[in-house]
Formats: sequence, C-alpha cells, structure tokens
Amino acid sequence: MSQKIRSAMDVVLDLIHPTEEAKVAIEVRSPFKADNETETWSGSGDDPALHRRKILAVVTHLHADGKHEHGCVFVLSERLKRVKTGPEEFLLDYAFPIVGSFAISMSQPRRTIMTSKTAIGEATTVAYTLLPTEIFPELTVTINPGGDSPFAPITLQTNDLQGLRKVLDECKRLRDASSAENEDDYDFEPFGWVAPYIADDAIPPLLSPIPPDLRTIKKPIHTRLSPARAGAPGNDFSDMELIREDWMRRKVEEELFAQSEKTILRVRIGTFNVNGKMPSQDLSAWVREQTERSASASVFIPPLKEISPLTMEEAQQHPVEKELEALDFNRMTAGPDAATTDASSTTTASDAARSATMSAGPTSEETAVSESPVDVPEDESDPDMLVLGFQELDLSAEALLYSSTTVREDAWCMAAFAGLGEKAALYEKLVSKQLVGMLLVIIVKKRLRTCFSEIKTSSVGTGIMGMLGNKGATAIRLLFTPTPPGTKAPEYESKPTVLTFVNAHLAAFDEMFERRNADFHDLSKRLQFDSGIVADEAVAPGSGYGAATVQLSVFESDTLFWLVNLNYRILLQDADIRALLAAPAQVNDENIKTLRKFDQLAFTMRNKKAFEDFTEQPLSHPPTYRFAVGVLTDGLGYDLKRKPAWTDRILHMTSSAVSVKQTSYTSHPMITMSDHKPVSAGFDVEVPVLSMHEYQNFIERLWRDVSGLEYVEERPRVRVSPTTIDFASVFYKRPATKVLQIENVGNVPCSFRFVSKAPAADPCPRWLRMSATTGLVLPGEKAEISLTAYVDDALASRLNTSFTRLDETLVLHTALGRDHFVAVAGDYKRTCFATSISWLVRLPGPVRELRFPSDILPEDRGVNAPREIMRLVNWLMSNATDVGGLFFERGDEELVQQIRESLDTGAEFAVDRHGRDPKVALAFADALIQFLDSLVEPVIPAALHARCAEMSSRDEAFEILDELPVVNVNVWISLTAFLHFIGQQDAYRDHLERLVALFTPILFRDDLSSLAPVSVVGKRNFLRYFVG
Amino acid sequence: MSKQFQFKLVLLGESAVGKSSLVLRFVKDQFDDYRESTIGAAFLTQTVTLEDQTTVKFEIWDTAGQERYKSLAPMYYRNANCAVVVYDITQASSLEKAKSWIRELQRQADPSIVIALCGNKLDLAARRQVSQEEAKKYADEEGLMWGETSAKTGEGVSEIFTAIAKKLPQTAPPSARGGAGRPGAAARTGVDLNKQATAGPGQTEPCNC
Repeated sequence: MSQKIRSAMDVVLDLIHPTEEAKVAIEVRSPFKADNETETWSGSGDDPALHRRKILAVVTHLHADGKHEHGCVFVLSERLKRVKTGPEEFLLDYAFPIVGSFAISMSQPRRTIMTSKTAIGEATTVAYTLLPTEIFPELTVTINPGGDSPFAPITLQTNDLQGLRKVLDECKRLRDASSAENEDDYDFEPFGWVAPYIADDAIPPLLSPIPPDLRTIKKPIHTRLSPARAGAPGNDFSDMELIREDWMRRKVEEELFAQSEKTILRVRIGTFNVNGKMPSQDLSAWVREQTERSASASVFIPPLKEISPLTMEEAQQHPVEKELEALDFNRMTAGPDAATTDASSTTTASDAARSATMSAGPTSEETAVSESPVDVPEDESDPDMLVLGFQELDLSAEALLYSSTTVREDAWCMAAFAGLGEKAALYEKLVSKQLVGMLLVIIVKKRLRTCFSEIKTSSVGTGIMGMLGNKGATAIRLLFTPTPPGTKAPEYESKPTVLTFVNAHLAAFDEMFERRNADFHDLSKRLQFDSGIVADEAVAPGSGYGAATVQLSVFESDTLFWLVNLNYRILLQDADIRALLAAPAQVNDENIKTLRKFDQLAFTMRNKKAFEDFTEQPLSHPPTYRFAVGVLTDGLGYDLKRKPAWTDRILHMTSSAVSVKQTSYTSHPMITMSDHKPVSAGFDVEVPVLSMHEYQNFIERLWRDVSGLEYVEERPRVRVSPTTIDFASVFYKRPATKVLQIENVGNVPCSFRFVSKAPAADPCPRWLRMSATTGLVLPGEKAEISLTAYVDDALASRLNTSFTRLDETLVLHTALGRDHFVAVAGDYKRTCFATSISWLVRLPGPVRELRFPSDILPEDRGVNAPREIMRLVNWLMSNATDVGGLFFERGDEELVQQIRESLDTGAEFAVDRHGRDPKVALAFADALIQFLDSLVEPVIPAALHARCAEMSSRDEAFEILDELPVVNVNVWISLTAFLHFIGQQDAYRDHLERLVALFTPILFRDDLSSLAPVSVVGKRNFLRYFVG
Repeated sequence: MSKQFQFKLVLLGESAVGKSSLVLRFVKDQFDDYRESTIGAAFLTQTVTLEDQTTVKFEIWDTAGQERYKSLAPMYYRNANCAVVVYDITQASSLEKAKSWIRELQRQADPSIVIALCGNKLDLAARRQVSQEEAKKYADEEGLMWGETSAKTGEGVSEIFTAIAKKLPQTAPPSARGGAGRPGAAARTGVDLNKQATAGPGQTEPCNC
C-alpha cells in the first residue's frame, strides 16, 4: 500500500466543521456474515482490515450560547474509488443524535477466537487498530437510534476496546445532558448543525451534468441577488446559495482549471445561404484554413462538375459514391503537390464519400479508423471540427411539406469533403440535422471521433404561421471529452465540455427588423434538446402523463455558437452604403467601420433587443449579400434592388469555464454560385484536461466547507480593513486602485455582498469599480476586493461642471450578520476634456483653477474660442505639419496625458523637451482627436446634421455656418483650415479622403440610436467643402 | 396560540453611549467591557413575551454612532416601528446629540414611530451629569418613553424593551419583511425575561455582531 493511511481521528477531523469537536474516533467493521465484501476478504490478498474501512466517532457541537452541547454518533465508510491514487475518502453513512431514546451497547460474541493471550481486561495494550484482527478480541457494538428515527439499529465490530469504552462514556454523558435539559432553555434547533452533513440535497450545483444557462451567468451576480439595501435585508438564504455557487465556480476556475493542462479544439465554422443551388464550385476556400497555396489555387481551379437540379432524378437512382467517383479529384488538388499526391487523393476521395454517405452512427466507424491508418499529414492549422450551416438548401415548395431525400445534403457534404482536398481523408461526418432549407453538418477528425458523445439534435420552424421550416433553426449539442495526453487508462474519465451549435435563418427584408428580434427570442425559447433524463417532480412539477424528460436549452452549454443567416441589414440609405463600399482602398477600413456602426445587428445588440451577451468579432469583410447573375448590379456586383448587407454572421457565447479565441472571420467572394457569399470563422476552443474524479473531488472538498452555510447558528464575523479609503486626487481616465480586505475572524464561513443605499441602485458609486460585489470567505481566510476609482467621459462631463468632492459609504452586508461601512473618498481634478465648447469659453482661467461651478463668467463675457483647442491647433501648425501619419497613428498615451495635464493647468507644454521627436507630434494630434471626441456636443450640433448633409455647394455650406453659435464657427474654421493645410502637404496629398473619413464622425457625431441615420456621405461632402 | 407580532427597532445615539452593549445584553444577556466601536450596522432579533402571552419579535438594527456615517442612518430607521435613542448619563453632550436624533426622527421617520429615550451607564451613577429629572422632563414634553439602564449590570434593559413592546400598536399588522428566520431553527415560543435579567453576566465570549 503506497497510500498514506490517516488515523480514524484525522479522517473525522477532516470531515467536520470547525464548530464541531470530535471526542473519539475508532476503527470499526461491518459484521462479516452480513457483509458482502467477504469475497475480497479472501481473494484479493489485500489486508482485509484496510478494505472499506469504517469509522465510528462521537462528534459534539457546543452551541453559540456556550452552554449547550449536543452530540451525534457518526458512522463513516471509505468510498470505493475508481483510481487508487490520492488520499482515501470517506462518506458519512449515519449521524445518530444522542438523545434520551438513543442506545448503544457492547458485547463480545462467543465465536471470537482468541489467538493471543491478551485478555479483555488488559486491552489497554491495543495501540492501533489496523492490525490483523485475529490477535485481538472482537467486540460487537449495537447502536439503536431509538425514538422516531427512520433507521433500524445497526451492528458493527471493532477490536478497539479502549476506544469503544470512550465512545460509550461520551454517549452516556451526552444522553444524560440531553435528557436533563428543558427545551425552553434555548431557541435553536439542537441538531440543526447536523443538517449539512446529512442533507439529501447537498449535492454541489457544479456537479450537475447540465451547465448553467449562459444567459444567466453572463449577468453580473449582484443583479441576480434578492433586492436588498442598507436597512432592508433581502433574502439572505437565497443570496447565500447564489454567492456560494459563484464563489465555487471562481475557485474551480482559478485553482483547478488554471493549474490543469489544456487542450485546444480547433473549430472552423461556416455559414452559407446557397439559394437553392447545388454545389458547382470548389469550396476549399470556405472549408479550409486560408493558406497562400489554396487561396491562389482557387483562382484557377475549374468548377466541379455541376450537379444541376435537373439531374436530381439521376442522382437519386445512382449511389452517391458513384457520382462522386465521376468527379475528377485530381483537378481539385492543383498546385505543386498535386502530382505526388495523385494516388492518395483518389482513395481519399472515396473515403470521404463513404463517410459522407454514412449517417452519424456513433460507433460503426470507430474500428475502421484503426484498421486503415491515414497517411495524410496533419497541419497545425487543420481544424479538428468543421461545422457547416447551410440555409435555403432547398427552395422548392414541396420541400416545405415533406422532405424525404438527403440528396442535397449528400451533395453539399461531398462538396465540402472535396473542398478539403487531400485532407478529406482525415475527416468524417459526425452528425447532421436538416429542417427544410436549413442544414447543419458537423465533420470531425477521425482520430477525435471518440471524443464526441451524447450528440443531440433539435429543430424549430418559425416561418409561415410561425411553424413551417422556411425560416427557423436546427441545432446540435454534443459533449467533447478530451483524451488526456499520454494516458490510455480506460478508467480515466476526462471532464467533458458541452458545445452547442445553432444554424438559424431569420425573417428577411429590411423592414422585418423587429420580426428578426422576435424570431431570435422564439428560437431561444423553443430550441431544446431532450436530455433523456427523466424529470422528477421537483424539476417539472405536475408534468402530466408518463415520464417527462428534462429539456435542455441551447444556452445550457459551456460554449454556444450561432451561425446565422440573420438577414439583418444596414440602417444607412442604399446610396450611402454603395458609395462607402465603392470608395478607394485607402478609406476602405474606415468605411467598413462606419458601415458596421449602422449594422442592424450591432444596433440590436447595443440596445439589448436580441443576441444580448453574444460576442461577434468586428467584421472586416464587405457585406455578403446580395450578388446575383442576370439582374442589374452595381460595380461591385451587388444587386441594385437590395441594400448590400451583412446577412451571414457567426457569433458565440461562452462561459468562463472555457476559453474561446477567434482566429479568423471572413467571407469568400470567389465562391459565386449563390446570391450570398459564404462566411467562415475559426475558433480555438481551449478546455481544461482533467479527470472527472479530480474535478469531483475538488468540488466536494469545497462543498464540505461551505455546504452548511444556511444552517450555522453562529453569526459570521468579519474584519473589514481599511474602513476608510481615500483615493486623494482622482484624474479623468486615470484609474487608481486600492485594496479592501475582508477577513473572516469567526468560526463559520461568511458570504457577503455589497448592498445599495437606494432601491434598484448599484451597490457602488459611478466613479468606483469593484473587482467583485459578492464573495465568500472561510474562517481564518481573507478575501481581497480591489476598488478602482475611474472617471470616464460621461461622469467627467458631470463632475467638470459641478462639485468635485467624491464621497461615499459602501455598505457590505454579511449574510445573517451585520452591515459594515467602508467610507471611500477622493478629490476629482477637473479637466477640459468631456466638457462643452460653450462652457469652456466661459472659464475665467485654466479649468483646474476653477474652484466653484458658479465661478464661470457670464455668457456675454466669454472668450471667442476655447483656448485649449487653439493651443493644440497652434502647436500642431507650428511644429508638426511635416510629420507623416498625424491622426492615423495613435499617440503615446502617457504623452497624451501630459498634454492634457498642461491644457488643464494652463502650464506650458512639458513635452517640448522631447525636441522634434515625431511621436510628440502624433501625441498632440491624438490629444486633439480625443478632445473633440469627448465633447458633450459635437462641433456641429446634432440638430444641423441633416441640413449640412444636404448642402450641394461650397457656398451653401458656408451659409449654414451662420446658424452655428459663434464659438463653434471659430472652432470649425480653425480646425478645417488646419486640416486643409495638412491635406496640401506632400505626405497627405493621397490621404485627404482618409482625413475626411476620420474627422466626419468626430465633428458630426453619428447618432447611433436612430433607425434613420443622416447620410454619412452627405456629412463627408460638407466637410470636404472646407478641407478639400 | 397567542398572537405574534414583529417590529423593526432601530438604535440611535452618539458614539460610545453603549448602544451595542445594550443590544448584546438584551439579546444574549452578555456584556463585553472592551467593545470596538460599531462601523456599520448589526442586525439581530429577540422575542419578548408579554403577560397576555402575546409574543413580540424585534428585528433590531444597531447602527453606527459615529458622525461620519450619519448620512446612512435614514436607511436604517426607514420603516422602523420603534427607535431607542440612547445617551450616556455621564456625558451631558450625549443627551444633546440624542435630542438631535429625536428631532430628526420626528421630522423624517414614520409618524407613528414609537421613540424611547434611554439613559445608559446607570452603573456609573456616581459620575452622573444628566439628572433623571432633566431627561424625564424632556421626554414628557416630547411624548417619549424614558428609562435608565445599565448594559453592564443588566438593570432596566429588559424593562425598557418590554415597555416598548407593550406600547406598540398591536392591532395593526406589523410591517412584514420576508427572508427573516432560519430554516434550521425551531420556532421559538418565548423568552423568560425575568430569568434573563437575574442571570449573571454570561461568559465573555467575543460578541459576533
């Protein structure tokens, strides 16, 4: 036996909470005859005494009043383990309260064979109980729980006479004390403390095989707690549950996952609205990671032999495999390697075909994998998993009503495998799910096939009558269980990760904006998987007839991907969109960024109307819709009758248990067979590799410490320090951090939360950010919370023009305990950023010298333009006109901060000592941009935007300036004159359009809340009249 | 079964007049000579049984007395049914502070609030600065209950809480508040105040509130 054996007392001490005391603990056994372990007794050769150790102990609890003590007899038994490593573990089998009717007795059975001369009376020589049983007398102990206990009497055996005597003595003492006391003596449940040890529902929530709903855990925890505030406690019990779960989740992430090995699952996701077409082109660009070779190859590869819908009948009559063989795969693998891989490509292709025609039978192919080892080399960039979503696979009317064939699915799968080229041999189809035109296919590496299990599919129609499948979604949920590196042990079971994929097609047309949001919510509700787990009453009360099963939401996943033909459009006018797309390459990035701002999905997510808490990598590719053959198109191939739009998107949502890194997001314009372009995205899904056993143990250990929170009768005590935190000077956008310590100086775990002082308010002031608003701290431990004072634009705009003293008291509520106050204070230092032009001109001096808000000058006594803007423009005119890259390159943040400080205090620019280093000029340019961007109201007031955008000549443009306040005109003229001057310099001659594109949204701030935004092109034209 | 009522009670008063000690004596029948000052608010409960077997459960908020946290007090006396405003009979200034709390309560708190003025540290009567007559007169003028206590010896403590319990309107339903009570704790039927009052000081286990 290599493992360390803990003494009985140590085992019990590990189990019990610090509020309890173990009086005595002895080794016991089940009586042999009654025990079905007898086989191992003779067979295994192990020391039988070590088999399923059992421990009998007397555990007592001294109540918080310091007077009353109650005790229980605990019976523990060793837990059978799958893996014989690590310390042995014990479970509590029984906890018998020692009350008046409780009885315990000792006897010596006659059949005991005395093999040593030790007499019972001299049993004091029994040193340790893990000795061969034959040597010592065998004693039988019978425990009768008595009274109303649901348990029958139990019998155990031991050799530890001395220990057993002590057990009996303790039991007698406690029973006598219990019988003597009057229930009126105390106001607590005498055995309430036992509850956490025996509670049936004491299964830690983290051990549920169903991950929590992503939508819930993405919400900050303080918004999920009961509504509580200072002086009005909420529900401490429900709060404790949530806080404890959150705390455990963080512990698992920080202490278990962070330390464990990781594996990366490379997932490539594609979405493609095929517009009812059959595959007629090479899909390699879409299904394979973009390498230089494949990208260039795709240009000259001739299209695959077309399988036209007219030949469908033929396709149905012949096996698909045959059809595939007819394709010339050699042409597919054009490029330098083509000649050498000829032979293998052919076999590869039929392999692929076989896989493609097979349904997702879970085991049928496993053996095949090992039989025919694949000799195609794997590249680092090859995805492990290919998830392809198709929409409008079949547009025929009959497809809506009945869909009996998989011809189209097979054809597209074949095309996907063909697109994989020689790599196809590495892959096989895992599963697919189709609903009318929507098809979701998952293709995985053959060698990883066994890592995927519990594959479930689902589909929902939201089309005609809210039911039919012309719109809707199909979804697949599966478990990914990584194989531990270097381990082949069959009993090793890794912790699985739940992956869910949804392929959705939402309502079309510009005006159906709201309908798409409704579709999303409808799908979120109705897309469910059957877990196969029979629901008990607690989960689904009164769930009708038969055994209802637990339904799993698509959000009950560790990571969730939506690949969607969302049909979301761009809010700008058609002409604007086309003009922005057709613009020269130098402003391309700027224009895509502009279009992205007006994208309906971005709008929806900003307003939390749908896809809340999803992540989408910023789009950098042009809109993917609508391209068409045989209709009028613009110069870029977009259908003139439809606004170009990013209809095809890939989004994800991930719990903190998994880390998802997006590696690519792009469209594939060379695939032209549909009116949409296919879109692909690569993801590295990093999951911890650890055994389920290790995971369970970790959680059970945590749980043991905190499971009884709600039963503790002693109040939690914490020491909070410091109770006063002074941030001293707090500057605009300069975070300052202090640490608050919460030390548990009591005997019971303490869960805490910060509460607000007013209903529905945040627990901390706007200027303060907390690293956590809830927590849990074990006895003797400390929790640290960082408090960061940070003043952003919105807050600065308020503080700049009012009083600057920051003074708050945080209220830290300890569950079932007291509220602690922490005073936080700071002095905000005013800045000229995040103010308004009209206010700046009324300052009597530098902004930092303003003592009271009322000290500003009367309106008619202000200066004619803000000094701060003039100082920046003046510096740039005198020092920087020969520096390239102004405004296009970010400035050094520290230099920008120094420049801002000089503007605020009125001091000379200290950065001049850097001489003519171009980075100083870039910092000044950046400071100007940041300054203008932070203004409460843009230089051109929003009310005038629409009219400015309509101006069609320079003269008209100048005329409208008359309607601006004089100070705004002065700012406008000096800025545009400067930009004009810069634009004339050699370095900028080709970049004027880029300057215009950059400054337009700063001088005319875009109204992102409008569903009918002002023309961007018009606004740019207006600016161009001045700087061009 | 007799009637049961539940009331929110708040303790106010200058720092170091013995508010927390008073609560500790009332709830746990304990006294601790060296208490740190309260920075925050403690929430405790105690039940009083009246002669007619009516039980009154107090939800007690013991607030910080320091001036620094005065702005938070309204959070705690909001919706309170009763307030015990404590002064130290050996500190004349503490009565002035108590008066200002009373004025604030009369202005800001629920108009039906029952206010008791409580002169604490009766065990230090030798150093008395506030006479019984003076405090009693003020209380009568303002229509307050009044009493003197010693959290240290226990004198007068249960009496003042019992008197409040009797005075509280027992016809109107008390303010309900969810979430209180412990699942594991047995329903409590009553506390024998006399027994508590005569019992000696408990073990000086550090107070956990």
